[in-house]
Amino acid sequence: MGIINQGINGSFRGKAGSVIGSGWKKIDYIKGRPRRYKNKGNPSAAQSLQQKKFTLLNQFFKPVSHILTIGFGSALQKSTARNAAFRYNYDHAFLFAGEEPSLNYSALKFSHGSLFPPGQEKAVMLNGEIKITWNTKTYGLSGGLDDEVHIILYIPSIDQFVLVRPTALRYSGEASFAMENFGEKGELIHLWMFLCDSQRKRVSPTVYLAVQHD
Amino acid sequence: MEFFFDKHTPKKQKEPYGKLASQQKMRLAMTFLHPLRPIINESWAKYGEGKKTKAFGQALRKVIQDAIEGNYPDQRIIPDRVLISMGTVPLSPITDVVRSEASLEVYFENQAHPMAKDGDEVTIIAYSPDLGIGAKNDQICSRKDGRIEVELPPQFEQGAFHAYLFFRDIKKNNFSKSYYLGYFEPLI
Repeated sequence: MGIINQGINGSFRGKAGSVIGSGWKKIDYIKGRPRRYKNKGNPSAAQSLQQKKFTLLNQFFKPVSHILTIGFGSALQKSTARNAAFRYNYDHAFLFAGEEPSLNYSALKFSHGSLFPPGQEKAVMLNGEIKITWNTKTYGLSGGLDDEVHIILYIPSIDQFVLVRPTALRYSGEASFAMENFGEKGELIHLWMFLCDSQRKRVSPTVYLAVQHD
Repeated sequence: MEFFFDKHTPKKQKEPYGKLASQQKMRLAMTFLHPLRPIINESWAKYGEGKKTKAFGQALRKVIQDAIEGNYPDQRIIPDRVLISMGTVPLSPITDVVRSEASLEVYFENQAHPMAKDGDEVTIIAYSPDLGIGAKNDQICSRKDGRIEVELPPQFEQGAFHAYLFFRDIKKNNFSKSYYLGYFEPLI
């Protein structure tokens, strides 16, 4: 049975007749019991496209939810990180070949914030190792030397994410990752990086880099 | 009164014009000022009654009131009306601004003034809201020096930026109003 804690205007949790009260992320919900929907048949072309887009983006973000928690930390009060990332990316994350959507990797964002990115970001493949470099100067305004640099690699041939660990700091100016056991030669490795301060309160926008596997 | 959300009920057709305009003003001002929050928290501190959020809110209010031009949906920020700092410390007249590849130099008068002390510190901010990057002078300069220089990030060679200058007393309690030095086009 649902109990109203704050009087007539208060929220409640549980069932009261045909009404169900619940709460999530400090948002109070009041819902009717689920209605029975008739089977509407096959989706239209437009519906089918939307469903494909939803599936594609949701599946893509699924393995990196914990990174999105850092990148979209400011939105977590009333949303999950994956939902926030989904909403932020949905409008510009797709390329279309006919009616088949595919992800526009260069437009994907894993963070949203106002911390200044380091600049001069570069990724090169050398002797089976990806080396990522960036500018370490902060110019008095662009964040702290101890900002964490989060680097996410995506290898399309095995549909797998790789996180560069241990997390580099801004002052180190470089990070590297051995690619010998990953991916196929000649394929394009997608790479995103963003920074967050040591308290993980401010994050920078995402920078996209791509590098050819040698 | 509709008590339950029904997805079959269409949403309101149009949001009121004033509401949309206000929301856009807030969004524009916030986007412009938020990256400068560490600076603004200090430079507007006197107007924040000890609270950083209130200090930033005062700066935000000033931008919304004075620095946004145009009608919705073509509203835009006028950077020369944005005040990065606020206060009563007098500004020194600017005599020259020299932009080179890697730095921006500003020359100003260093003559004595009853309100302006020789030891007042000068700060210069180069900032590009489009690139999302900024720079501040790393050397401490005072009013008597008559010159200040800021090292520019390499991104500014290809991107335009705005520059602001302000003074503050040596105790960092009082600030001047910020002075807009101008909009600097990319070199390349």
